[in-house]
Amino acid sequence: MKSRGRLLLGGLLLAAAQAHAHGPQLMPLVNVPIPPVPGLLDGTDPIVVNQQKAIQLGKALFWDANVGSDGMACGSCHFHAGADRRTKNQLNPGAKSSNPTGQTFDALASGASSGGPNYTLTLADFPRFDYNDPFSKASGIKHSTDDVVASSGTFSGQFNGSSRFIDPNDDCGRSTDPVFHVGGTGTRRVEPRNAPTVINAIFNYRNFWDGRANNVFNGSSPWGDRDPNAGVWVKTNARTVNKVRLHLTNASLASLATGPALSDTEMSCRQRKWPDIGRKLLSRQPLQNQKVHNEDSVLGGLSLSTPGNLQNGLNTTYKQLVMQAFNPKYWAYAGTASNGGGAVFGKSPSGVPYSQMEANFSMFFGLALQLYEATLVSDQAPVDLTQRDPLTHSPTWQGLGYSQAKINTLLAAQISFVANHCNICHGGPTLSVAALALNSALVTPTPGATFGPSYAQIPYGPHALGEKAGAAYSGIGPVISVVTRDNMGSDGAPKLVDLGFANTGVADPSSDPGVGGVDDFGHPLSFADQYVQYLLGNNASLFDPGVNAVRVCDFIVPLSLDFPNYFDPQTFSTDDGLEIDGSREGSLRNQGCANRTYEADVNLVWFIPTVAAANTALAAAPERLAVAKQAVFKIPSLRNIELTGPYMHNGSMATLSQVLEFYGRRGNVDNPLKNFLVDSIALDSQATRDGLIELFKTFTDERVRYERAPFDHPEVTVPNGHPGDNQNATAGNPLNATLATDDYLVIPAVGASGSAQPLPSFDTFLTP
Amino acid sequence: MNPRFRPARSLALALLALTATTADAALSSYTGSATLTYTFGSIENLTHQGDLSNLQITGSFEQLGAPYSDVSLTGDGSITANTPNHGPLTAVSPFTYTFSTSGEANNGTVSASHLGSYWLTFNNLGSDTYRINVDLGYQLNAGAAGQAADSRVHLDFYNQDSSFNGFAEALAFSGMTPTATESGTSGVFGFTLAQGGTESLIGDVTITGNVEATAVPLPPAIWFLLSGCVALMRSRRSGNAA
Repeated sequence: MKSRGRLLLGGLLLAAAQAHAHGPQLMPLVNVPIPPVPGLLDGTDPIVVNQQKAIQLGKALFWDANVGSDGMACGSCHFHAGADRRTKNQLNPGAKSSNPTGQTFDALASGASSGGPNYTLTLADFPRFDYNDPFSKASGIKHSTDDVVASSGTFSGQFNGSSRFIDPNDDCGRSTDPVFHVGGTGTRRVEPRNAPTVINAIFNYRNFWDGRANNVFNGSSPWGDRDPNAGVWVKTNARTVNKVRLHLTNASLASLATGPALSDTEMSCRQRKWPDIGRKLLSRQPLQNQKVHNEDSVLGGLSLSTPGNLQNGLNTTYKQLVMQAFNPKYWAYAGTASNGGGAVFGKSPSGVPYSQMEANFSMFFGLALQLYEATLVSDQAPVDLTQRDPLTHSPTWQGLGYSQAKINTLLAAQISFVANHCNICHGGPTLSVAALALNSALVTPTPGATFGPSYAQIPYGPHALGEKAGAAYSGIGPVISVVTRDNMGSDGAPKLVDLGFANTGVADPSSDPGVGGVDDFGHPLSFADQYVQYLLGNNASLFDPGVNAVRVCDFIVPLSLDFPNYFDPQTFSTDDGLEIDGSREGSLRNQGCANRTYEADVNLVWFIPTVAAANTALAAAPERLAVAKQAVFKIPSLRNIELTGPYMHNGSMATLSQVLEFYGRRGNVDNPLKNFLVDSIALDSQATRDGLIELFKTFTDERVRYERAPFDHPEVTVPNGHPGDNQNATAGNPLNATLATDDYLVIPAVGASGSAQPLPSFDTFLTP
Repeated sequence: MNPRFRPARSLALALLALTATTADAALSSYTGSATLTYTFGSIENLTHQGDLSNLQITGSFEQLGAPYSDVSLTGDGSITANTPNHGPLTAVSPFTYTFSTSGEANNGTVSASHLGSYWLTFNNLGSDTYRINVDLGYQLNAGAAGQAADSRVHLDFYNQDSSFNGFAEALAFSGMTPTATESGTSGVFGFTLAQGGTESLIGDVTITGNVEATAVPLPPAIWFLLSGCVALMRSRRSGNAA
């Protein structure tokens, strides 16, 4: 096509993209606000008194293999664009399943002898749920398994104690695991879910695939306000220390951080507690056995390395970093007794009383990691740097040095992305609706506030995420509403669902409950479940803030319609008994509503049933209170998706092509909770799919690809399977003679200027 | 050859010295001390100028036991924490005392925490009112040596209701910061003592030390050579005797 023709086509495509704009569009992450954590860094008595020291502490802890009981660091599963690209000993039998098959390994697609512990994945093993015709479920299943491709972690064992200074491994009673072994030789255990990327995770309102890393950080555990035993120790005076509740909002990554280090699958021996980890680390040099680049963007000033001569460790101790970073009231209590009572913080298994610093180590760890991970924002991808239409703010793909042909491809792909409603779930600057606080902040009218590059600034307000209030189509409004209502299943029946979470039919719903699970206290993880309790007037069953502030007039599909003489088994109406949303709290929620279907008559949808009406419906019209939670998972960000395979919560797809085939056949398993929009996807055209993959590549920040600051890191030696294969493994690990010896993958230290070699995609590590 | 020079015996003695030196190389230790000095800035009788006869000033030190102090030892770990109690006795300015503890191990561990409490107490035994200024100077010393050890010397100073308070610390880590000293003063604590009143300025010093040491094993070749030298010594001795 001649250049004039390409230009004309480009113009038509740009116009078409704007005409088809419906829902959130592709918005930049440049200069967006990190959700604030009140009380952390601000106020008269902040918890963190030196943010830079806290970030240094957080980066060191994230990459330090001494955190684990036997050589695992957080970075051991989050080292490749923030995710995991290992291919050996990465299979879990599907332990989240409610079926017996979740306890046993299956053969994979490549052959009868494939799969199991210490197996090396091949390209032929993916996708792990496949149809004879990848675009037609009617063609019949070619191969399926509930086994999960995830991350190998710890041998685990029963925790006895650890060295304060020297031994990197904990003293644990270790033996061969009954599931993870090769012929009786123990192998490292493997997680039951795929490791998501930590990059941009700071924007997720909740974290983990099932959302259990609570938005509220309590200082001790992932559970937020749900945990009745959580708290931190505060020095009152020289002889008194008291345990107090902690409640920090927008601190989901701190909540998350308290999980894996105690997990007997990921990093830890069983019965180890956070004060034990503090005891192990506080007297040590950070990154004691790991090289730190002299130009590390955060740790370089503390590094012992010189140019060309990389050395292990930092020129400080964890104890000193904690003291420098945190308010003294959390560490300056020097004794172990209080008000005459001994061992007030408890004792280790060996009977030595914990100190205040050890007792609060979970808080130091969580908040330090959150502050470090808040720096991991990839806002310089082509989708961030492109020029934008001055009216609609949609990408024009100009200014990047692209050919007109490529520009045309991307414009067409934008149309496909929106036409197939990918943007309804993967909307907003992070390309995930799970970024509740960020998305709501951006659509809040704020005079003078803008985001985006200097040459394409976008004002905050209802059109910030897409013209014609595009964000509202995803249930996003200025006020954070943790629940929405949307159509599910082949019949499109509406159901309440946690905002930012979805079921797309990846697998049999019984293979993993997702947000349909329960917490350690038996309470449902689902916020939609709690919202039903709110409607029923059962306030004692509300565990998370925000549930009683849900705004029905922001729902994608209304809960109620103020229509008299109207009956709908799925919707409350006037004759059932309605009240204006917010009446119970004395603060009406009928302003700034996001609902698009009744945009002109939004006064019809800002009602909820009365308590009596809700209780009546529970028996008489249960569809009105129906909840989608089984196999509903947090919507992942698409940023850097080119590099963060394998994909989905079960790691069942190795390439973006396989992902598009999955969507092209409209999911693997139809079920009543599958989002209704999936069934309208049309991806039969190879050209369309190729274009979308080109679009996905514009979500990759080159700094991530080349590990440049802030994505540089210390050396980490990652356990990478065991010598041998899934038929033979060599026993004789120094930890225990019944355990397999370890193979390792050494990820070298990288300084701020990054690596000379780009990170490849996951599939390049798979043999054919 | 000089009959006094016996090569086998000399070699055996040298090897024994090497053995002893290698064993000492595994020794890890911590030390901690605090010297606190109370200085009376000024004391005034606001009712009868110059009359301090009914103002009682006493000073004391006590090393507290459980639950304020705790020790855990394994292997050959040992501690020394025997600072004698001092007073209460009539205090004159400057009133000073030193509290110290230490611990070491060659092949074991030490986890120790000891609390020593200093008191300077003013009692008004009469009906006059006094205006008093006093400060507490301190020098905290921490030391950590050998394979693996750390020491933390922490001072909390406070009055009876903790309205006047502060803290200071000295930290030492073997191999990195083997010694640390923190010197300073609490600043002036000024107060008024009415009839029957009592006030104290207290200094709590907590010394925490952790030590870990493993004996460095000699290479097997050394033990073989040593046993060979001993055998040679015995055969020469029996030959001389004959």
